[in-house]
Amino acid sequence: MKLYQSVIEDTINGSREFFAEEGIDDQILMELRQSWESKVMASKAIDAPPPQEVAQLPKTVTPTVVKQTKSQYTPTIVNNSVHQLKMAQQQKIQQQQQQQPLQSQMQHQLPQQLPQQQQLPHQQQQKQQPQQQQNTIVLPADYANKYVPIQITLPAQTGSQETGSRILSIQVPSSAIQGNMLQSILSGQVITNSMAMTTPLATSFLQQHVNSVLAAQSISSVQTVVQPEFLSDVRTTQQQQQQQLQQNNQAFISGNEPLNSGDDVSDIDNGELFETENVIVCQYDKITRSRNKWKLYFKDGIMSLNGYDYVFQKATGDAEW
Amino acid sequence: MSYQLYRNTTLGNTLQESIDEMIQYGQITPALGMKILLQFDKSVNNSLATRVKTKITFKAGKMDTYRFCDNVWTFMLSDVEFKETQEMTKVAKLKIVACDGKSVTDENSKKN
Repeated sequence: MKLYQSVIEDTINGSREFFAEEGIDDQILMELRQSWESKVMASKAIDAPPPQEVAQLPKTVTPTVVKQTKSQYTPTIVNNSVHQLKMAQQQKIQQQQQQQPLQSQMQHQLPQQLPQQQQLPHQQQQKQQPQQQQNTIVLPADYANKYVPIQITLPAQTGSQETGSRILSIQVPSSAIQGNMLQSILSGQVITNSMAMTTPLATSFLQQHVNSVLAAQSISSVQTVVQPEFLSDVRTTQQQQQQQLQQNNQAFISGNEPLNSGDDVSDIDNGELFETENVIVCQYDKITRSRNKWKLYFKDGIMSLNGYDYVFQKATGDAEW
Repeated sequence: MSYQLYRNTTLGNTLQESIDEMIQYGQITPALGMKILLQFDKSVNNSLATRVKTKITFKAGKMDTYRFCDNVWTFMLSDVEFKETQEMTKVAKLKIVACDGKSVTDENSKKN
């Protein structure tokens, strides 16, 4: 969301002087920014980056990205909480990204919201579905070619005697690193599931998960419609579509290797989605009541509805007590 | 002074998590963390007031609870339908927390 980018930008820039006052390196501020941005992405509350971004990526990237993997930052995993794990993992991924800092992503996210597209009828998007599904299973050559290793730090296997953390290495397309996709792919339930596995199993599980999600994404990137901010119903359709594609691809990629059904992560995510509390945080202009009829006038709001965030300048509501 | 209520959003919560982690790793001090959050309050209040143009309407099947305390309204609504031009979404339960829109406007106009 455009607003989120500008708030992040503004908060980070505004904090720079505080860092300077305390004599803290700018690098730490950049780390904060990256950590924050990847958490926002991982929350899935904002729109996915426009599909054309994904489509543009593969060409320019070369495997040299790997060299940046060396981190000055060694994560110490104090306990087995997923939270910290995520951080360690994000840090690694982020360090790989540092040479292509966030400006490029920002620009991608900034395309103006085109009014015509916003008025695009719902049906039109739905019509595209059959077409897309026919495209299943075609993996673009780009994805097959430029794979680079990334490292993931996991705590010791759940329930095992060992205490040390484990480092896994999986191969991902270099485009995924640059596109900032890995954080959202390797998050939450996937990691939790993998923590319960032995190292080789976790490695192959995560590898397969990344493969299938990326395969599904590369297919959905065929679609070039920019998602309007408020079309949550369309988004849901797309999400379901994507999940379906993902499952198709999983079947395709994993072949006859039956992994734990920990693969059906998307279903679990969906379950959590509906448990999410729907909240509006805003300011009131005017609240009126006549008998049992209320009229609510709000402004400057941030809403979280069914797991997605929206913002508004004005909101007017009716309710009966 | 800007309202701190937007800290309780995706954007605010994720920032607080990141700050907490950096404090835990000894990369920043809690005092610095606090300053960053105050900067976030300013940024988010300001951005909402100046950059957002979306107007929406909603209709609730029922208002379950209302409360007005310390100039903050809190509502619990059921079966709420949202509209922005023709698009729409629906939720079964909704909580609204709203601070007074006037006091911030006043402060802003003083500042400007």
